[in-house]
Amino acid sequence: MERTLANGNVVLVAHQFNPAIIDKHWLIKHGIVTEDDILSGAINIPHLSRINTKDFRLTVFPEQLQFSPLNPNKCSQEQIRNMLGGIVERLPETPYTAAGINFLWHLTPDVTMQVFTRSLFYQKRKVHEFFDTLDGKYGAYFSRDIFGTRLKLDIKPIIIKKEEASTETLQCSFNYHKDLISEDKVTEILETIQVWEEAKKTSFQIIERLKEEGGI
Amino acid sequence: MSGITQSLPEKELDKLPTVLASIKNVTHEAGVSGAASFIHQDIDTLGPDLASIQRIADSAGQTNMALSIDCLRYWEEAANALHISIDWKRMSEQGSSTEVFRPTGRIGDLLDQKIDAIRDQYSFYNNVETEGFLRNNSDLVPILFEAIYRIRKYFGAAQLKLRYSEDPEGTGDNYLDLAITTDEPVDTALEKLEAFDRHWWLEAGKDESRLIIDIEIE
Repeated sequence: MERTLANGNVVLVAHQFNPAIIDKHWLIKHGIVTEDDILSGAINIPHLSRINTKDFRLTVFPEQLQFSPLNPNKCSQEQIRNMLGGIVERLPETPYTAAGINFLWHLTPDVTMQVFTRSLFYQKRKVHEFFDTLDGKYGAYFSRDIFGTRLKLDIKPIIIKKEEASTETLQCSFNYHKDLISEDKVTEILETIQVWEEAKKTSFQIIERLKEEGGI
Repeated sequence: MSGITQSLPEKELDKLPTVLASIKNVTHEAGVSGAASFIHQDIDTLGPDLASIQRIADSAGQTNMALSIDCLRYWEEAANALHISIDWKRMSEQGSSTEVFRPTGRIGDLLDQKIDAIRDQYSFYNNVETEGFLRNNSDLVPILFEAIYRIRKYFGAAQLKLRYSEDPEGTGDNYLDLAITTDEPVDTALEKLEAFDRHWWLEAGKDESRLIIDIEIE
């Protein structure tokens, strides 16, 4: 069975960002990246800013800032603190309202998705019985408080299309959500970033459990 | 809960430069800001056109055009951003595109405004399905706005109808029928449709299989 960390990122929500000011020149000016770090493909229009660097991709919409390390597996907490923390500290007046850490895992079983998800999630309950057919597939939603955040885990089968080929995989979407309620939003964001490693480790452990329990 | 912190898919966000640049075939690093300026230029060009639509509609007794030039500004950019979110939403178990996606925030509000404005100009045959299809194919909205102006040039105040249609062969390639209702003689109406096709739709709609424009004789 193959498992892949397809994505890992930090999302900040504010009311609201001004994408127009966050461009590559702004990042260089504030010492967050150097000119050599910037890759091609930048976008800077009134409602959207997108910057590619050799370490991360930054996307800013009016409602949301998304910071995505290119390699979430290897990116350290310290690197995120320096890069994203640097951006946040230089925009202290932004009315931030929430911060979240996301990990997207894909589990591709050796057996069919029907068999795999049935072994993980099927229970002898009335609703489940309705889907108790040869083509029935299953998923799950879990949530709990952890690391000062609300962890929400969505699990469902998806089809990933790559050019002509399609692969069916079980998508496990982890969202560690933190509403920012204190006066000092910047500090609260930095504290949330500090759980990156633990959050990643926890998501990995859950994926390992799913692998074990779904192993046929 | 203060907003959703789930992420947008990087794979889809990576398509942004291509999507934006393709709007006016500008090369990318010219950059996308080049494309954006083209969009604004288009909107400015559209201004007088909208004014002419208004005049045609006024003369036909339709005073409530509900088309705001200010509202259209940046619409294409927002629609493209939205389109990406929708693509993400479509990445479900069966790759289905029939699920209605209700985006949140300003982009969602903007889409609501646009669909309301579309509804002011077009009669919807099958309301729920047509609106659902428009929400899932929001990049058709600017085309439908432009179609109003183009159609009015030839057919004046003809009633415009939108109907969601499913591909009879069940391939899942569903589409919208745009019917231009006219009481003109068939030959005249067909001549006008041919001119409309020749001057706009054959080129503008050459890669667009989700919208079929035809006449309906009353």
